[in-house]
Amino acid sequence: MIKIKIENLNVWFGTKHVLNDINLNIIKNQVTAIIGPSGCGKTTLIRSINKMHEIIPNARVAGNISMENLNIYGNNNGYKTVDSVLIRRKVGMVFQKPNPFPTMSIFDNVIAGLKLRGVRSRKRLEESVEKYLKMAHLWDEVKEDLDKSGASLSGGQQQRLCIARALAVEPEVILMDEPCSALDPIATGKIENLIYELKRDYTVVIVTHNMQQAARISDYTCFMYLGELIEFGETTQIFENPHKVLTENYITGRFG
Amino acid sequence: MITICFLALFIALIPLISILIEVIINGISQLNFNFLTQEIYPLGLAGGGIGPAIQGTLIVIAIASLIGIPIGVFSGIFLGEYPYSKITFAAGFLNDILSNMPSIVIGIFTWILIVSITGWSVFAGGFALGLMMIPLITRATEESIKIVPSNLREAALALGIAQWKTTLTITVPTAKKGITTGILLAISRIAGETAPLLLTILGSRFFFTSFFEPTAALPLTIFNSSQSPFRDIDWPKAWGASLVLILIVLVLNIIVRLLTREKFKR
Amino acid sequence: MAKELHKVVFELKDEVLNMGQLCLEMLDKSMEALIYQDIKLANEVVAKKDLIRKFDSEIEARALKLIALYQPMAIDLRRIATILKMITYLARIGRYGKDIASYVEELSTRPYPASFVNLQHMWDHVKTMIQDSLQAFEQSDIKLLKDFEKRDDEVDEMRWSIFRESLTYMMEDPKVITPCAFFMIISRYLERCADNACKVAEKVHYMVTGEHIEIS
Repeated sequence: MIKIKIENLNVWFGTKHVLNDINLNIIKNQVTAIIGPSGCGKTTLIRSINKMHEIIPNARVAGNISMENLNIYGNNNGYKTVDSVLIRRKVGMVFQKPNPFPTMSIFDNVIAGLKLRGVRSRKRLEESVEKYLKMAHLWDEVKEDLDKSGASLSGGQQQRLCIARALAVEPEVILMDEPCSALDPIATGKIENLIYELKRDYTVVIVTHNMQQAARISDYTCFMYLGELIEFGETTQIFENPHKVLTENYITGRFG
Repeated sequence: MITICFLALFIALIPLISILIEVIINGISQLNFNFLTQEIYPLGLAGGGIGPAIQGTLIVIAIASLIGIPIGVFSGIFLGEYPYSKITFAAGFLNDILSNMPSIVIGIFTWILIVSITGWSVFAGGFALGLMMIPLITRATEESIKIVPSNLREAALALGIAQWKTTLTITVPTAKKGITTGILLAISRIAGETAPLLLTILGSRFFFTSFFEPTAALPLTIFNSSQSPFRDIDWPKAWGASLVLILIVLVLNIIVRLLTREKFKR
Repeated sequence: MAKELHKVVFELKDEVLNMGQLCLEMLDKSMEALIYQDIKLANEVVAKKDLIRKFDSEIEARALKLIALYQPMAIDLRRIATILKMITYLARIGRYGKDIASYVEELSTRPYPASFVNLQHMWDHVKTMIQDSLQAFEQSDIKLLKDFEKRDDEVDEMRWSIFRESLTYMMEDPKVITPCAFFMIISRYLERCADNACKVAEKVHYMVTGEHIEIS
């Protein structure tokens, strides 16, 4: 079942053509990994899905992105178009460098999204904090210190806090931009286990430059090069028997 | 190389240290409860104090802050959050011009704008000093906002928080220390300004009566006392007032240093 | 790092080909010893049996080390998987060679009936199958494997033909029962060698195309 449909997506930063005619289907409740060398457009691609590239001046987009029956971009298919704020509540994002809000406690970090949406009930907020910290496998480590600053945790804990914060908004899709690249192997392992569990209830898209990670945790893999989508398929097929020579050269390290 | 730098530093410190020494030596004898609280006596009359001057300085600083802080902070937030806008480019340029404006010119401007209509008033004095505070606070706020890492803004936006709410609840609190430092530095800068006050509050010997009457202030009192022909009576008072003014500025600076140091400890 | 991986994979490939040559040679020499009743040659073959085990375990260890260290993918992964299976099949071929050589002493004391010519013919067939499968591995070329199924069927035919012929001889003359019994065993071994060559061919096909086939 398709969760997100990307059709003929083109993105320019000024005159630079960063994404060239991307066509991709993200499958519901599965983990899709996007791999490729630096500068191939993977980050731009996922940031288009939750309209985060709008922060960049001179960014221009053409094409359609739709999520089930909502339009993210384009509107030639009769779906309802919604604004960025609403999209970002349905499509959450976890970034490469963990970024908990330094002026807030752990408790406040988790509910940051909820509170600013107007949820006031103390009881509901406390329940949410416990629920989502447990989901992120961070509850046991911080339950005694919920009012300590978000920035006082280790790198791996901060990243799990950011994941809890993203989950608390109850999105349908979670985008992850190299979530483990700033973390040590043990923290990475914990987060990979978490991602594996998340796909039960969420659709996950993860950008990674670590191919072994993509092979370990994803169901589908998409290989990109120089702004183009070269190959997309089930992960086992991509890593055991890729169809395109470019894909094979990349994953066997024969690039460059 | 190091010797030259050390020598330069030493030479740079000489004026500061000698000023401090002079002021302390000459002014310390004046410091007592009476001096700090009593009315200003006319020139040539021994006794009295600088109570009204201290009061006036504090009031004028308060009014200046009420004008300068909100305008400066909100301008700085705009400039920091939208660095690529054309408005920002123009406004930033104008802001720099304002910060370099001679204080006497600001005084004259205020005189024409307010004093010629309402007469000498502490409100005009506060207005003039407020104008001087604005560019300093704007710049400091703008820089503090710019320093907030963009990934914090991105995190907030990605949670579905609108841009303005992000600025208000995430960016500004994170920049709080920098903004506060900017405000305090601006206050300590204008605390000792004399020229605008000459043209707006005129000066007085009496305690504060109304916002639209001439008022005393430390720089003005120092000026008056130093011009007095009765040197042995009035010059010591000038030294005492100078010491008090320097102490006020020093205390503000120490507060700034303490606040910024606390930031690193966290 | 990938360069190191590719270098080691190629070294391993050469080792496998060396092992294949050894096993082929053992079989070849044992058949020669059988036909020409050369006990000395047969003993030479038997003496080499430890070499097979050495090749097998060394290549396996190096292949496993490659997997642990380099996490090979795609073509590299398939090549290593093929190597790991091939050494088993080649080892079996070598063992059959040694087993045949071990019968030569026993058989050289008796006269041979005419069916012996058919064993030579069968061996020629099997030999080319083994050679072709090794060449296909070396050159990553599956064209050589095109008609393996047919060739395997022919080898099966030959085996049964030798079986029937031997039975006939045994029924005619009790004195040839022992050698003919051996010939039946040897023809069975040669047929098993052809099967192993087919298995190598299947794995080479997987290595090149990524698809699994069955040659039966």
